[in-house]
Amino acid sequence: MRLFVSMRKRETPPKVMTKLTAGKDGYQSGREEGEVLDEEGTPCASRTITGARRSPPYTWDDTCPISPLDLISCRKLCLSARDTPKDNVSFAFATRTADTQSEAAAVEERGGRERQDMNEESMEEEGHMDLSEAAAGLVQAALRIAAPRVLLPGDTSEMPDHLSRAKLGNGLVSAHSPPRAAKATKAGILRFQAPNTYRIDNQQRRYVPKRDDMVLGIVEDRGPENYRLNIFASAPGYLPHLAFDGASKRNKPVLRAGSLVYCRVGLACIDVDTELTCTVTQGIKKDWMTGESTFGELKGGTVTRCSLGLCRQLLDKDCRVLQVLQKHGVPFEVAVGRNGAFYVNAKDQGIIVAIVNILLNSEMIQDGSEEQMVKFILKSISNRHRPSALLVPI
Amino acid sequence: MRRGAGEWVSLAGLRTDGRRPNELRRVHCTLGTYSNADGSASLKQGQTEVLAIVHGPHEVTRRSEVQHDKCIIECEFYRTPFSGFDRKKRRPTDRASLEASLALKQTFETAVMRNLYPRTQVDIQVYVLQGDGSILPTAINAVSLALVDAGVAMKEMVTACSVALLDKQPVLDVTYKEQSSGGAYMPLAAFPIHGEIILIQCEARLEGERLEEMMLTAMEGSRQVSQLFQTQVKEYTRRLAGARLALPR
Repeated sequence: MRLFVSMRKRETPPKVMTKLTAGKDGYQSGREEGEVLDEEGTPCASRTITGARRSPPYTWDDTCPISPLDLISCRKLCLSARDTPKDNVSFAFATRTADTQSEAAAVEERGGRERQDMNEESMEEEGHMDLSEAAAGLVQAALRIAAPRVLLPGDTSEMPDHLSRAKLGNGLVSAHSPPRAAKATKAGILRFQAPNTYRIDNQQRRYVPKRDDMVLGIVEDRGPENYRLNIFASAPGYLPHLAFDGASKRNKPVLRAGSLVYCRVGLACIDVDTELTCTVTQGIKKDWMTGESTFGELKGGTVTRCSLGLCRQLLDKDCRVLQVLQKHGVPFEVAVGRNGAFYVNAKDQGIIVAIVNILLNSEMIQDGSEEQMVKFILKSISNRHRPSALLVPI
Repeated sequence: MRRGAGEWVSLAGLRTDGRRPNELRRVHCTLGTYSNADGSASLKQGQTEVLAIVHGPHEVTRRSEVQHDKCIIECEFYRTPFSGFDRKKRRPTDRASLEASLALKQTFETAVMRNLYPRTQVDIQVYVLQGDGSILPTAINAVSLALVDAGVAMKEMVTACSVALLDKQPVLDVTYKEQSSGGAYMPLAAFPIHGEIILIQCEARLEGERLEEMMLTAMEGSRQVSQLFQTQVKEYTRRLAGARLALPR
């Protein structure tokens, strides 16, 4: 099992921790001086890092009992440097080792969002670690929540007790047979999203509209009041004529059937038609006429459908492929919609094709191989006057 | 019960293809085979191969049939001309195909959580590529996998298995020869975890006391299929989610 030490700077040198206590302000970490002792009473090397939980979403009880088997799959909670989150809590357990080079497991839990790559551990990877009592409670809470499990339709999962009220998101319904349990209706990975939402992360191609999602839509028809857009969901979305920044009755964009529009979901409910809008609520507001507004019609280029998972990856702040492309200095424009579609535009047709292939391939490629893949495809584009240099997805 | 010493189950307890009476054929399934559809799965049980494709939930094509509180499930069942022993071009509206489509429709109307998709329609198409007996149970299993691939919410994964009475003994997962031998043939679809039966069909004469025995055997068969699917689908899901990372398995 690989273990990582947290890379964050600490103002004070790490101290031995015996108990994580709730400090004065919720659970900003309280540290107690002390030593971690074995059963025999000899102090063992330990390392502790307690971070501050910046935004306490729920309360925890540091006295809850813990079974050693429960926790220590520091699996992918041991993250690579790339995944070191900016503002998070990190916990460490003291391990009972005699060496000076102790094994420190920094377990970092994300307060806000969770990554897909965090959750591919198998529960079997357990180290033999002893935990100090108090870290135990907190980590138990963390890991029971963050423990990734693959659930199939019909599988039930117990909700931890300390959550006062758990919201069930995508793919979960409440089950009655074990009390406080949720039943999965889709196959996927059970994830927790702070503060109290559980959901199933699954891979599907059909979009389920959610408020404030940015989506790509293709105009199907023009009605008297709004445009009907195909947003690759189970029902079309409706975009009012005047839902553009700076639009008035005399001054509004005219969209034809087949136009591609980048818009935002305003209202999404299964019983009501999905409403879309091209206005901006946060950020810079630019009139639709300037052509620099975030939302609106996308001209030229090409739109490609993909899975929802790929869109999530591309919209991630730390999307590797886009960083690699940026490093290569390829000039292109991309608009990714949450509904399983993305738009690519560039001056050169060859570059458009290359970017589309690169983005489609990046879904299933291994971490670290993006560089290679991008180089391969860009190279074959630059040789495209040779008929043998066809694009072959890796 | 008496071990049959007949032509279908030998004295040693082996069937014509070397299986035990309670043994399923080898199962090979792939999800996401047809990338244009919302969900698809290809399932091969022994020599019976079936491709299931799911489109939806999408807008209802026939406006008059819209249901305001749930989704409609439309099933089509095609046996390709090359699926049987003789090449036979079959119309999609012939009796056997219609019955199979209806059976699929009824099964999945029970399994899919239809109230989550009001005013929509889910299209299920099943293509039998190779038919070596137990076509309907294989089709039901394939559609289950395809619905999982499509992300359509289901109460539970439906699994199905066929059972036949050969030499006075119930045998699981029958081949074409066993199915056409004249013994009672009964496909059964169930929710394996809950133990609820969703579909049973039987067109042969059967002694009353045999029925329960056959049902229990078929339930056991569907549970075996379900265990297989658990591992396969979980592996597939893990692979999808963790495809980017070089993870130790």
